[in-house]
Amino acid sequence: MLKFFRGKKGSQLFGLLGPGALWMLLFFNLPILIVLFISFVERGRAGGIKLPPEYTLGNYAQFFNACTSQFSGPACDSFLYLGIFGSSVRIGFIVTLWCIVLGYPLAYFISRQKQIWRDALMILVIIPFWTNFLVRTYALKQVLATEGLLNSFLMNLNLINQPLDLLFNEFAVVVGLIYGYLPFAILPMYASIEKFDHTLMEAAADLGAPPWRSFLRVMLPMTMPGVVAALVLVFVPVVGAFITPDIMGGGKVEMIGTLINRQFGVARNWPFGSAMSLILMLLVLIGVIYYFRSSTEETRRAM
Amino acid sequence: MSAQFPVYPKQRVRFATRVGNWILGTNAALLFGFLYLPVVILIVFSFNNTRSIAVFTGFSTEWYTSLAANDELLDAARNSLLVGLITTIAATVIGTLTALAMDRYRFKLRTAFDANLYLPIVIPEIVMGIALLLFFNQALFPFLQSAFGIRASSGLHTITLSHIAFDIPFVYVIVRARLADFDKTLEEAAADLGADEWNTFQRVTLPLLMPGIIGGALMAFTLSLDDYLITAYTKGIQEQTMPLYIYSLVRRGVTPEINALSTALLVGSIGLVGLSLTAQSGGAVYTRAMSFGAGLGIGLYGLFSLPALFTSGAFSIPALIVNLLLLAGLYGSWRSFPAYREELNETNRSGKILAWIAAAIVLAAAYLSAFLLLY
Repeated sequence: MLKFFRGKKGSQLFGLLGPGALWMLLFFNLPILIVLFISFVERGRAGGIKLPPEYTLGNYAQFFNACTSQFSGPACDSFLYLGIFGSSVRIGFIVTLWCIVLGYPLAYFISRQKQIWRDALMILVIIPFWTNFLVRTYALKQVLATEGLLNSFLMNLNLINQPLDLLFNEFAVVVGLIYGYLPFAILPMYASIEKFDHTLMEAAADLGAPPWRSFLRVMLPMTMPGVVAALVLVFVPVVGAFITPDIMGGGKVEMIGTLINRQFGVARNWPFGSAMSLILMLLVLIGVIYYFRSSTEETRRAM
Repeated sequence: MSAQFPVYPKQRVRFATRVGNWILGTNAALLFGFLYLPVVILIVFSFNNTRSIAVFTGFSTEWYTSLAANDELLDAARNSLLVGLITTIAATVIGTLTALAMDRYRFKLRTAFDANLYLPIVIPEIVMGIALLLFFNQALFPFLQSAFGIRASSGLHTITLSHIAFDIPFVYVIVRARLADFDKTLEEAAADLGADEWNTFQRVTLPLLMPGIIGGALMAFTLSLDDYLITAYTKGIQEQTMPLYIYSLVRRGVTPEINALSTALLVGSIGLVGLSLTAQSGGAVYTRAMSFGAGLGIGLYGLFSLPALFTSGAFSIPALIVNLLLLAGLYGSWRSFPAYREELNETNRSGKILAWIAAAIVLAAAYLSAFLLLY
């Protein structure tokens, strides 16, 4: 070890790597380990954790069967938390599917434009990445509000007599999430489609394939890495989303993010919140590992 | 055999293509409308003279004037800026050093360390938020209390520490990408010409990396400025940041003040995107323009606040030192101007205009930031 520091290379490496390694260990890895620790202890009477710590698997048990909690009443639903996870995953897939189905043709459309238009449109896709997510969500909320523009527009056209309830339901959350994460889907798919050699489609047509078949058999398989990247890039943040379900759902739509948030707010059950966070992290990591397994270095770098 | 070849009537194919193109174009128009209309509506109604968000009744800037008089908001803006600036400097330095280390050296656990740096980007923000909350409250503060007798609590400092932690990976990824395209023979050439390691780094490596570093820094700044969730978990009782303030307003309902505030933030973000894209497009002229503008902006604020320092009766030695430091910005921009002009002379006309616009935006931003932080 001492020899390592004496060497010039060793001390240089240490100087370069030291600050980053230290910071990440202290403010990322250690905190995650503490979450792991707290997920295995019992909660204290007034929130926090019981001291001295008593180890338990109860927090995980409570997740899989809500009725194991000491606070659950006689009318408890065992699948309460599993159900919320399930509906988050379902919302995640719905949003991802819409983002891909709508985003793919858009990415294709952009890739077929002249260079200058392509650049301009791509800037339009990138700008949302840089704008405040809260502000964007609020902008959408304002349009969908009961007294908002969409409702008054529809009423002026006499299409509806009274305002539609467009907010504070699952529909609003799904629309809000599509709105928030559509650019995340367009970017990787565009990167794939732009590299695709369109003469291959002509070749397929020359060989007699109708357009839909040459799309399904040639273009889609060759741009699949972009689609998979889009799937992961949308699904992962959507499953753990908090801001959108909170603002667009108005407390009426529960997703994993809002559920975990509540354990650290009003419910004051840190150990249970920790256990659910780790389960969520595991879920997300499975998705990411799947992505890294199925994609090549080259397609990732295109991002 | 040729009879088995499907022959499509020419007219039909052309019609199908036309329909296809029409669908593609409509889809694109609708999606861009979906992405941008709410934002445009938000901006338009921030100038409405009534509280309605459905009918535009007349032009007014009253919501902006009420914002400028809102002390709570100005405090939040100042806190956000302070946290953002410290975070950006720390995360950019640390992230760049880490990227250099990972690019240049091979060592044990290198792959694991690389994966570890990607983790904060991919795991849900809420997980990192609660991890930091528990770390500070259940580990770090009790430890400081028992080991050193220091009573610590959350506040802007914990927010800053956390923001640095989630920004380092982003800077790392961006600088690392730039390093991957880096032509190492340039460094060898510098060494062959007799430059020592430090000189090579300073004169060759760093300038070539600069677009990546600035791009990373702007990304870090934006992320810090926009972050709600991690901030909410690491904040103290009193201090607010911009996103926390906006969130509390949005939870209460829809008001024209939020529209005005959001519009101001959007303008800021768009400025940042523009700068980032310009910096990353290469060209030393832009980075030079930006540093010139930053120095000038800070320096001008120092110059204009100098008379007030002596007349308002608030004179103090620290205030004078701060003011002189601001004036150093003026000196810095004056010193850097020849190099900037040299680069300008080698740029074409549109590049020149772009460089001056970048300089002007940075100038305005630097002036405003100095004002908000020090006023």
